[in-house]
Amino acid sequence: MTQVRRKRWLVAACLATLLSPVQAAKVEFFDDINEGPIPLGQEEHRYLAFGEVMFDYYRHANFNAINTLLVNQQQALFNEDTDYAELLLGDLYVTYGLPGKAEVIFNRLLEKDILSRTRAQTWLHKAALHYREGNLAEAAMILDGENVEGLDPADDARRRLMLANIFMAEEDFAGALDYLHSVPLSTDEGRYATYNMGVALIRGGHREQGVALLKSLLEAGGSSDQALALRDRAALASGLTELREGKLQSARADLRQVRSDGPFSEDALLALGLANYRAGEIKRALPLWLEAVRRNSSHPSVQEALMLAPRAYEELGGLPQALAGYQYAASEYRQALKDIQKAIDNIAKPGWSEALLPEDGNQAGLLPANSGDLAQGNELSYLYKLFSSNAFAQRFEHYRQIHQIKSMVEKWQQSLPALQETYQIQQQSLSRNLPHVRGEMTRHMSRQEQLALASDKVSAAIPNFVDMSKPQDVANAEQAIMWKKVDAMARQFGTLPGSSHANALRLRKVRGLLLWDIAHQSIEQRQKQEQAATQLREESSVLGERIAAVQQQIRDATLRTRDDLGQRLAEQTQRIETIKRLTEDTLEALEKSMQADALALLLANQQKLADQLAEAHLAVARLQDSSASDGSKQRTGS
Amino acid sequence: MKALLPLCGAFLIGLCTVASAADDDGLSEQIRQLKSEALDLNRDLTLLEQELLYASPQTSIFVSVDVGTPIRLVDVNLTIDGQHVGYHFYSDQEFEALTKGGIQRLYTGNLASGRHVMEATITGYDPLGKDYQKTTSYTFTKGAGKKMVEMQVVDDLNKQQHKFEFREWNQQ
Repeated sequence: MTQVRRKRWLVAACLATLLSPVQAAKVEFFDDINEGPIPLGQEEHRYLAFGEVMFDYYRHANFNAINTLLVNQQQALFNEDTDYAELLLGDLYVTYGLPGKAEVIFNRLLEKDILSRTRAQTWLHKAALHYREGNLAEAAMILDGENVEGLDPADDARRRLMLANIFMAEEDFAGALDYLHSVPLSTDEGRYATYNMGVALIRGGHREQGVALLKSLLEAGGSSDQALALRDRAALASGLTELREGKLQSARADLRQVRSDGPFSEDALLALGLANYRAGEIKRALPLWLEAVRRNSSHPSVQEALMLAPRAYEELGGLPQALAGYQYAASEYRQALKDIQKAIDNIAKPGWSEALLPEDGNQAGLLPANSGDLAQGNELSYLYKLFSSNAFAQRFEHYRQIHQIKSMVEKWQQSLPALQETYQIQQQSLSRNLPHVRGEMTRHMSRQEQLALASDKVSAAIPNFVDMSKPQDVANAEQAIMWKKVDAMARQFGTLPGSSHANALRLRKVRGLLLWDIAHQSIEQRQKQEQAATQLREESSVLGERIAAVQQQIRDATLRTRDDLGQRLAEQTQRIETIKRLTEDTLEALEKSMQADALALLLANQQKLADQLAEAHLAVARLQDSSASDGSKQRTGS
Repeated sequence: MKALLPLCGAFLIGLCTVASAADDDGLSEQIRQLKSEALDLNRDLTLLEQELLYASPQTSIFVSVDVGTPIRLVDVNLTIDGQHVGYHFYSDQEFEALTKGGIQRLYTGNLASGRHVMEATITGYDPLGKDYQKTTSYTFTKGAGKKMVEMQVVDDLNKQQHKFEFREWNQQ
């Protein structure tokens, strides 16, 4: 049985190395249940430990997943031979921003004689690392080579996407398209790649091809928020391209597909109005811009629409409405300028970056914890623009991770004194109690041994048949007492008063009836005895295990009284302090850099708004002047 | 109005997010160094804590579920010998992690040797969204070495609910 189980573990281990780290955990390692306790071998231990890692990995607690892998590595549970754990650790290092450590692992794996699929996966991870690091040529060389042959379909799709993106970056659109065609539009990755490809083609001057790709997204499935937002974005990009080319009809058709309550609705309203305006349909442009004006005035498209709506009124001859519109635009710009100033002041305040952190430490999203407060001051819309910059988003991700480290270090800093105190209490308690426990244990061991012997003896003494030559052995308690009395009377019958023949017959009858009674229940009674003996043996065995457990604890405790754990704990104080200081310095540097980015963005916005405000004031003055001059012309009759 | 046309170009952002080259300045190196040291520190302190708090004969209870189960586990409540020792409410992400093969350590502690009865109560939703609660108990004997118990919550296809299966390991 043990050999069969071992074989199963071996198969499981092989499967685990065959499949990707993600898939390895999906393998069901058992097909049998409730066999009672089995020995905890290394593979069984690995199964549980790797399952724990996968739990953290899939719930996106990457720091915990790395820690569990490292702890198990230190305990020699995972080592260089557990390829699946190595591959996952490398992948996690890449995600956590430690490419150097990841590369060491990947290179080590590639030097080994591993299964071809694991090898292909390792090459893919290595290519992804180069890709992430911006070494596109090296990434492309791996991804286009023979090393990655034999990947499963999901990994192969990932490979093709990376290659398509690399070709796009090199403006080799034909090459990119070759790889992109095989990536299905039904996946998020496929849709994003298609969008990126469409935009890249447009930027590269291949407008028709680009627009065709973007339009293909409008028909693509997907009902998630992400998919719908991307569809809006594709419709907007396609519409704007056609607008620039003067294909107004087609542009309007695309822009109308942008959802009116989606994240790109303001942009679409502005652009659709613009398409109508260019088609000479000013009356159809006006309601769209008026709708845009009603939206959040911190949005750049709304800010543009604030000037376009009165301009349309002006061209339609509605001068009073135009004047009111320009005045409204000026007041909105002033308010937006105030909001920006407020945002600038907020950024300068200490703790600004911390307020951007998500509530859940593991969450990698960018929605700040206090988004409600920020939204009230219209700061959030500026921040979203900030987060759309790759450089800022990366810096913020570093900030989030370092902040997580800071929390971790602070937690350990608080825990360490408690751990040291626990150690002291343990030492005192063990020194006080160990001698007594050791002495008592010797006595208890002897008692347990005697008990085990006795229970074995009792079990052995029970015959596997019913022997009526000793009725007391198969009688129940009541019958046994009765039998003892009757038997004693029979033995001493002649010496007892009233030992008449009639009484002898009576006694014989009673004895016979009692024997019959005992014999009648003897099988049931024997079964009970056997059950009791079995139970006694089990109890005795549990007691034996308890003795062994206490002995183990005594050994542990003896080692504890002699070990240097206290010293090792004390050594961590300085280490924690150093890392904490380094964490604070890094956070400060990152915060300054993020503040500088945010300030630059806000100042650019401020400048643009100031220009728009000036334009609005000029328009107001122009209209007021023309109105005054018309009035004076009328008064003078000219 | 022509001034607005460049605006159209500005919308065409979001070109493939080919990762930009890493910032190889001092701050990036400092961040990498710090992350690496933090991982080492966390690993060493975790080991020290385990060494201090959990002697060699520790007991651990794990929870796992059937891969790809259509039944949603909401929470689990664990008692050992009538003492409440663990409760966990599963977020969507955590439950998804379990259905993909993750194993959760629900309890680790130092139990006295001998017989123990653990009782687990789970709340879940069946595939039709109806909620239900189930309780199971399991008896195990704690000996000298480590004891690991895996409680697998598996589909009971007849009842469209969960049932429990237990696996138990002893360190020799």
